[in-house]
Amino acid sequence: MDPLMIGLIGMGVILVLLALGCPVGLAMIIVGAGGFAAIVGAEPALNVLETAAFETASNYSFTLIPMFLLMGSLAARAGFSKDLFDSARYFTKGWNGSLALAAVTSSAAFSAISGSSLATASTMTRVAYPEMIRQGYNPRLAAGSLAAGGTLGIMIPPSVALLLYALITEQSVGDMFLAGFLPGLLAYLLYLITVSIMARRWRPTGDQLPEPGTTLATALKQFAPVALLFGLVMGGLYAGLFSPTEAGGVGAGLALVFAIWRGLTWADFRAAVIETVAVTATIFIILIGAEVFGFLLSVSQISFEMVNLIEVYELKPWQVMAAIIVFYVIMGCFLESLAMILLTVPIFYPLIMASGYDPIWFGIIAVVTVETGLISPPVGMNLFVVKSAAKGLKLNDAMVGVIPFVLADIVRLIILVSFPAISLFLPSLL
Amino acid sequence: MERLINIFDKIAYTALIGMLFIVVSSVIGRVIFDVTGGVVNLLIPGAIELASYALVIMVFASLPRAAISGLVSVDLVIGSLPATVRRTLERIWDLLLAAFACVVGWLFSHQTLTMFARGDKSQDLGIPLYTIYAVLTVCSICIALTGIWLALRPRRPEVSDS
Amino acid sequence: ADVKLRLAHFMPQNSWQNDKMFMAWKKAVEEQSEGRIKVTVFPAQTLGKAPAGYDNAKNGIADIAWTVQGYTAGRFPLSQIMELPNLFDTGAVGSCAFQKLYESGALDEEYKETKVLYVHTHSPGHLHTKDTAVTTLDDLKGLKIRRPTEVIGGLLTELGAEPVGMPAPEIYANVQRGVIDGYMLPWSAVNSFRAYEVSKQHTDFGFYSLAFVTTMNKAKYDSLPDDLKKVIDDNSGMEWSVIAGGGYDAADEVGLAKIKEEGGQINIIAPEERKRWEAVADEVTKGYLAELDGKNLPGTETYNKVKGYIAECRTELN
Ligand code: NA
Ligand code: NA
Repeated sequence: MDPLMIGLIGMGVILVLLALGCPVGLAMIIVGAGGFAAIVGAEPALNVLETAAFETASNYSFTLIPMFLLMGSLAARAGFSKDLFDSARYFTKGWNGSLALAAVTSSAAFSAISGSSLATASTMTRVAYPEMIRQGYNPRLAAGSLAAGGTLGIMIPPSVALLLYALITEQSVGDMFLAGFLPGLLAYLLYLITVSIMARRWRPTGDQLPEPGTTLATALKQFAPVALLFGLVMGGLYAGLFSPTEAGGVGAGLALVFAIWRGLTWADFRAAVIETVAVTATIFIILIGAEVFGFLLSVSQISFEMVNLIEVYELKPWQVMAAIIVFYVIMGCFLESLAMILLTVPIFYPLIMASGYDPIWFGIIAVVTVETGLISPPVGMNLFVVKSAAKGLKLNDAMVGVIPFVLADIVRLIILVSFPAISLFLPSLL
Repeated sequence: MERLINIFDKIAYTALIGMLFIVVSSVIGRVIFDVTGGVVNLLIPGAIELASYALVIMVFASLPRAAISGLVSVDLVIGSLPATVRRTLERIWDLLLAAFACVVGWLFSHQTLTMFARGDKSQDLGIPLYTIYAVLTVCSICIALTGIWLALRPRRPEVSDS
Repeated sequence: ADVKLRLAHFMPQNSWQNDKMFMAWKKAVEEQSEGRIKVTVFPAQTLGKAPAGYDNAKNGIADIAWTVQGYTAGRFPLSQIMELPNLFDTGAVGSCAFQKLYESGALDEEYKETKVLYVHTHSPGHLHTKDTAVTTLDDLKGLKIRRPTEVIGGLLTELGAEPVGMPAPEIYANVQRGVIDGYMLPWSAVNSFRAYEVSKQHTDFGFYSLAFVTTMNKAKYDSLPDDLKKVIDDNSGMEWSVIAGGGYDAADEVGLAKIKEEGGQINIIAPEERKRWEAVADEVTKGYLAELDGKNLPGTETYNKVKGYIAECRTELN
């Protein structure tokens, strides 16, 4: 059979397997190895499995993933998240929907030291959701703002998604992180506006209990450790004290020092390590799958043929971009974020390059759409995470409450597509 | 089975903490080296290599636990299926994971023997590479056993939220 | 086409290697086989990572792979003699000598698992530093230098530097951030990694050269009918070895011009000082050969052969 045909069938089989609940990484491994075996042979396919598994898991650049995860996890256990929320409450008090504004604000701040969206959502939900419910907030507003706020975790640096994009497309990790900063801030502002509008419709019914005894000084003090941690890691990275790959280790190390100073218990430390290790393993099985699947993409020459299609049909660059964005938005409703990056970027990247777009900018666009996918019903990982972290929350409420934020994301996507400078301005300064 | 997996958990934790230690100390070592003008040299030789091997061991040692707590999947369609169908599908995926681990473990064991016979060493520290592959072989066996164990159980184990 | 061959290499699609070495080879083979062989070139590690190249050809992941022997430490000890310092001045001569060495059968044991098409070297690699001008051994003392392979790492240690191992694409960022003080590459590679942007000092000393091989899956070769085997054989050996080595020489000229244009300083080691460097280099060579001899490999014997071939190639290629 024609290699291209096998490749296309492989893509179809992956979708079926995913629909049947097959773990994403496993599906990519099976289809990748199976397709490679059909085109090249069974023995080479076995060797692909072996090299992909070993080379991927022993790739020095990937040490950043567990290190950034550990940093976020330690920060959460050390009570940084609670402090951030309390500090944000001081600044938002008096506004309509102040607690939800504070939830979004503290999520944005926590994103600056957490590389993962799911970690940000679950951490901030544990802290902010009970308080919002206690003060009579509609669960929809509470869950929506926390699920959306959590997505900032993968846009505001550090970010595992931006990191993976940089690594597969061989872009600079430092540039990629810088590029994510302004789009992350833009998302934060749009979420604040969204919350204000929502708070008019779903007014909190309970009493607004002010946090006793908060002053500007205490609020700043609560905010300081996170700002310091972010400043040291990003500052050291761009000042050239350490390489991007080392930044994760430095961040985790500093987070550990801060956490110990804050009275981190042995049990908390253990829990942070356990969590990091487990999440890392689930990411790596997808990474290994993406590597195996990449071999199938190569030998079936799918990307090559797609680039040809552009030439044959004389597609304009914007048409290619529009098609890819629409595809991402639709797939985002169903697929998990990192899996989507790893599955699709190797396919689309050659198209984007052939159309003459900036690779960094496309990375931001891809991650923004993926970010939306995290909260767009029916399958939004953040919705599930918020639900499991928030006692008594119904998934339905979370799904309704998040819709205004999905709209805000679409507005942001249009802005970022129209003004590439928002993404490219900071990296251009380096 | 739980006790076996616990051992691998500990290997993974050790590898993670080791990785953290290696990266942090090589950055600190470099700062001291530069500040003292090269007089005090605390640089760890082969830090990159050590971190890479710590990572690969951590990933494989933690996959049994990750398999139990559940790998990333899409439960859109499957969520609406009858429980028995769902459980059957889950068993299939668990067995597929076991099959993957068997194949990879078998390949790793071959690599272990080849590297042992050929005496392949790592570039920086000259670590005999067969030792790394041997550890990975053992981890793969544990992943395979975990997959089979999960498939044979009447229900998937409940996972606590932390 | 009757036969489809997958040729894998690790350079980018827009590199001269892709053009002059691999696309040119594809064209030659396809034409001479009258279209019965179709070659697909997979650039930029799209069919396997660089260090796995040899195994990928052996295992049939690729039918043909181009790789660096030194990426797998200790597996090609006799071939890595070509890496030793100060052997030759151009990639063409180095490649010619290496190919002669291969054809003499001296390396057969190292390549028995695959069907070698040709071996070659790149042009000699030089030392590039961020902002320290290096003209004496004292200048080099304590500098952290990225070394290409283990054998050359030994040379750096003896010269007083501190060898650091890392993948070549990471050189740029690590020099920029001061993780390393410098690195060793041929002029052409300084250009292709844009490393001249972060390193302004360059020391001209033929420190080393890398050994390369373009090799084919054995079973695949054996499966070809005799007339197609002949097409492959006709496109193996000296001709392509020198095309590859000469390609590095040509790219060096471009690279060196670019480095100078970007304000790079080319430092020459004074004759007296050079003797000290060469004395150290000789010690390293002796040490490496003694190590091979100690393992019952014909280290010294092979080295002497190489020197003879280099002399022959110098005259032949002039
Ligand atoms: Na983040
Ligand atoms: Na979604």
